[in-house]
Amino acid sequence: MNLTLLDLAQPVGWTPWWAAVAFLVGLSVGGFVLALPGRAFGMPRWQRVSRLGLLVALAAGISAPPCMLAALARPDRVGLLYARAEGSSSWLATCATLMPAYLAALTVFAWTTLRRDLAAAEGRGVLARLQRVASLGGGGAPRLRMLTMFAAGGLGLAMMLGVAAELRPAWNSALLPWHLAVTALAGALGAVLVLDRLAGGVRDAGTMALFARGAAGVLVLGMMLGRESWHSPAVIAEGLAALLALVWPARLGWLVGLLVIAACWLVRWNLVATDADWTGPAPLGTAGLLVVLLAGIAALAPVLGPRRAEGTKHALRRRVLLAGAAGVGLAAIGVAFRDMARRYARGAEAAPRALAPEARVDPVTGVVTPNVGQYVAHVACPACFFTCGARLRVERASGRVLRITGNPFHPLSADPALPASVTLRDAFAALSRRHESGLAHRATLCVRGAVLPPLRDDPGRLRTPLKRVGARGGGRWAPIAVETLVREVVEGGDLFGEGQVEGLRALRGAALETPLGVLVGRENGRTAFARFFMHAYGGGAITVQHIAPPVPDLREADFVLVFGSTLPDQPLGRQIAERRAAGQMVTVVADAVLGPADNVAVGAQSRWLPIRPGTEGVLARAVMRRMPGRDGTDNAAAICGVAEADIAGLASAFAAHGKRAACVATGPLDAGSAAALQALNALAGHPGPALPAEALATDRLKALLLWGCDTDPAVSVPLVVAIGPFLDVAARHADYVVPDTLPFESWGWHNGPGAGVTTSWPAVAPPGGAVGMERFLFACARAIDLPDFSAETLDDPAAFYVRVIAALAVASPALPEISEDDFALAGLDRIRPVLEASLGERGWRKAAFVLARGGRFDLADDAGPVAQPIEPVLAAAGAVAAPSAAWPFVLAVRAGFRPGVVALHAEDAAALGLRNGQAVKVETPAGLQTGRLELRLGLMHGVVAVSSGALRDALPARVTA
Amino acid sequence: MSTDQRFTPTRRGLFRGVSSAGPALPRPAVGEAGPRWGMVIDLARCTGCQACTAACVVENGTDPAAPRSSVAVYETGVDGLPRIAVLPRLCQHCAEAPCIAACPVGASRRRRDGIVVVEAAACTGCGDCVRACPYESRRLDPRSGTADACDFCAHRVDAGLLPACVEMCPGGALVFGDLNDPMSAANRRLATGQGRTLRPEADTLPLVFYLGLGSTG
Repeated sequence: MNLTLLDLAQPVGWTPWWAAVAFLVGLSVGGFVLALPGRAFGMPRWQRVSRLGLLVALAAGISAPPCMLAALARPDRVGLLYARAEGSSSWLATCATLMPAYLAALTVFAWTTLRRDLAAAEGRGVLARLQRVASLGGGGAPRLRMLTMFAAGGLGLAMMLGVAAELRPAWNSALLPWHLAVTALAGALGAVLVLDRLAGGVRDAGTMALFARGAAGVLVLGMMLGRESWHSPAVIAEGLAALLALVWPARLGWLVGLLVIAACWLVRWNLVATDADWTGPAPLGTAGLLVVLLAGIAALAPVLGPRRAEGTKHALRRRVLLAGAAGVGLAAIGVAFRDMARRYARGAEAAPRALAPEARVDPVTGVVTPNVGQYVAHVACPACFFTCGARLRVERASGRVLRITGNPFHPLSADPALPASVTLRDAFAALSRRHESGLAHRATLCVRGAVLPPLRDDPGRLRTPLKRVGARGGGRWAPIAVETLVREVVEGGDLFGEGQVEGLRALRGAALETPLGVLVGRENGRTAFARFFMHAYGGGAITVQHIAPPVPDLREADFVLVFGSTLPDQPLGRQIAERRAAGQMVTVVADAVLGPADNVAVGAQSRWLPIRPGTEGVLARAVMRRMPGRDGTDNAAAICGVAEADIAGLASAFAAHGKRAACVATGPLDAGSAAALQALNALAGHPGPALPAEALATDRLKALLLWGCDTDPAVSVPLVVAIGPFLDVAARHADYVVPDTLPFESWGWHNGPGAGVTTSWPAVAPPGGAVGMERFLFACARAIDLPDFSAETLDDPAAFYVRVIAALAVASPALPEISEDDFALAGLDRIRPVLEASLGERGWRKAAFVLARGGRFDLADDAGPVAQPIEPVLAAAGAVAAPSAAWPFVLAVRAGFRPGVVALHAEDAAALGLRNGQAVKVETPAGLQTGRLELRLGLMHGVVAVSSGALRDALPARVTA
Repeated sequence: MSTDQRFTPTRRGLFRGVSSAGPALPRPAVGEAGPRWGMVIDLARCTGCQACTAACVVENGTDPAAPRSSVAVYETGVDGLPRIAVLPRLCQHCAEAPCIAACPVGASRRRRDGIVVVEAAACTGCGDCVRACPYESRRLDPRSGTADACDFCAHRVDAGLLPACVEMCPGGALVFGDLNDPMSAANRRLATGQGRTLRPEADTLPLVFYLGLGSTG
């Protein structure tokens, strides 16, 4: 079975510092072995090699512990490896114990062999004096030398084994320990070769040649043991070094030495780096540490021979050389440990901390103990059109929304939803694990609602009204007071030094048909207030930019045509998931990109029908035309890229299933496609929202309010006021910007499809300076003296919502008054003054009962089937560009697609000669996008798919390397 | 044409071994008195919507770029037709957890109720447990550098509540419950004998079971 992982972040397996630990431990033990013949047994021919070997052993040995520390993400806790290692079989803890022991043995061994040299130090410098003191008399100490030699040898070997065992998950061959050992010895030989050249040329060419040949032989053995692919960098370095060493053993000491060291490093790097998806600057740090210590030991200790009083010139040159090397090494260490240093400069951050639970529910007694530090507010979820019920967990002290889940009273978020008679305290129990009640009563939102960002204190939030400075769209603004804003908008005048602008008061009296317009991004539960204002103002038009996609009730459906690569958000996604898994529903997923709308685990209950991007409406119309009683034929099959039989099959399925068939869409649709999908659902007998009204005719308008427009309205009207919490796209057309409140800071009243009435109240206090749409319009209305806004009728904009909600509460059957407990748990004390002021002592408690449950859902839905004008929808033509030679592909833009990925069908990519993972460019007439190529089979031929970005769906496209 | 080059299976091959008809249900030890928490995941009900991922990140305060649990989405093929397979991934709370054995300082442990937890204050960030996990269910938290994994929202379970992901799963794919209780919803779902664990050959005895896993192959 072949599987392609489409979306997952791989965890970090290794830190690359483990390669450094393995490298340095190997080098040190290898150097120690080379030090033995000359330093331990006094073999004359080995003297020079052994001195250099000892230098390597010491420098690498001292470098290893810092690298091992760096391999821990929390090096400050290294002490725990010793304090808490009891009973642990961990190799890491073993290495942590062995490493200091080995270093101690090695250092004492080195001291015993260097004692005579220390004692022989000449001169009166501090260093020479210190060396004479450190010699402690300068004897040979043969017994101590033997003891520490065996100790260092044994501990070194054990440590190498420990490191190899720690790397066990990365082993690529059972012979890996041997490969590590062999390359360790070769690496030490290489280091000796390089140091020999550095320290002043070949004194014994024959020996060096012998070692070069030895290294070559060892490397050939290593290559055979390694079983790595022949083109791996480690094997190439090994082979090259072996070849050079055999051909010119004595002449290319530099090159051979460096190549052997590189091979020794790469063998370890390969092990670790192929398993990690990040590569830190470990090689740099390792090299830096080595250089510094080699320079330091060579300068401070007599490893290369006793310290002689030298000529000034020679000594100076030596010092400059050593200082230079140390400087370069220190710089490398600085770069390598930079990230770690930064983290500690910040103070290592705490581990993730979970939220305090909102309540405790005793699983046995069912006693609920709410967390008094939090309250749960039930409001409308603002993430999309569906208006699910959201449950906000708010922290009382900070007023911060901790987490957003579903409202268990809301029929779109829970099934079965809790009846209104359930108290909030009992709702905690219903959602708990007691009697597994929470599994059935779980109240959910989709991912969009769950991750609504905490925008309340966003730095980009507007906190004062703005007036443009200079030309419109120039992006320069000046803050103004709310009073000034209202006066200028209402009274007009020469507001911008560009001539007279008529204000709202003058326009109202000018007997124009539509002097004022409001363009709203989408229905948001507050449009009722704007409509109320426009009604009082008279002669205005209010238009909504985005119309909700079709929302049929799928609780009884058994055949659903899904337009989208993912399922629609809940509630539709929830209904499909449950019915399809239960074998009660079949879905046909019509989209150019196969995504998780399909699910192999439901088997034949789901089928993929690839259709060309942007042809959803064409297909919906074609299905309608082929239903019984209509004998429409068209070229839809060619436009959509589907077989005629598939369209006919869909038509007969819709005909056969009647009201149990429906279509839904995931992504945003153009108006024509949305109308076609609504018409298809209407034909199947589903009630639906009214079709979009005609677009706002801005040419007749004298003033325009742009409220919450998230797509560019592209208008030109004499007076434009944008209302929004941020400077959005509408601001470029605006003269004034009014800071708005965010959904959780606002009142609202939503007549959602199939969900009764969902209410919202300001569960979170708006930040200072957030005027809000309501207060702005209210102030304007008062200034113009609009009839419905007089002090007697409406004294506070909030009262508008509160009264509607109170009417909801007393509708038959009337709801009871809220209990003190519910009131406290819902956090409604925040708005008690508003409620009391608007509704009086008795009324407010009934409204609060509704607010505490996030709405009223037991009243009959009065949304009947809306008469859909199907014939004009059917008559519309599909306007989709056919692929051409210049633009052979169609672009599919899919939210939820990983950013930076460009997906093509594997065969299309092969035809273009493109490989998986290659960097490619997607060009369209509207711009281009680059990304990494991902080859798919679940993608329509002739389609290129990218994530949401600057480009629009269904554009013609071409793909190049 | 050959499409071999396009397939990049995960390093440890999570689906390995599940396509063969393995033992119907490797039940965990149920000797302990008291609850033994486990999860049954009905893949047919998962829509890959990632509401569980989001709930987990918000509830547990983790870096959104490195969630403790998420839904992996795979493209697979059945009878030559491309299909989508989804796999909610979280700590499997193994009865024989390799991460606990690998930890040099005893920072990972299993509670009496079966939940595997990490004591972040004792973690050195060595990553041994991350590498030992056959399910790639652990990672080092990018901010604190300590090992981090799903703990079934132990703080919520202890308060008598449900894990955040279970609360927020629209399709009801995640069934959390007491495996020691024969009448629990989880055990009732497992009674069909369709439950499979990931990588049974690793002998880790996970407490997370999947329904519908066989259909991926």
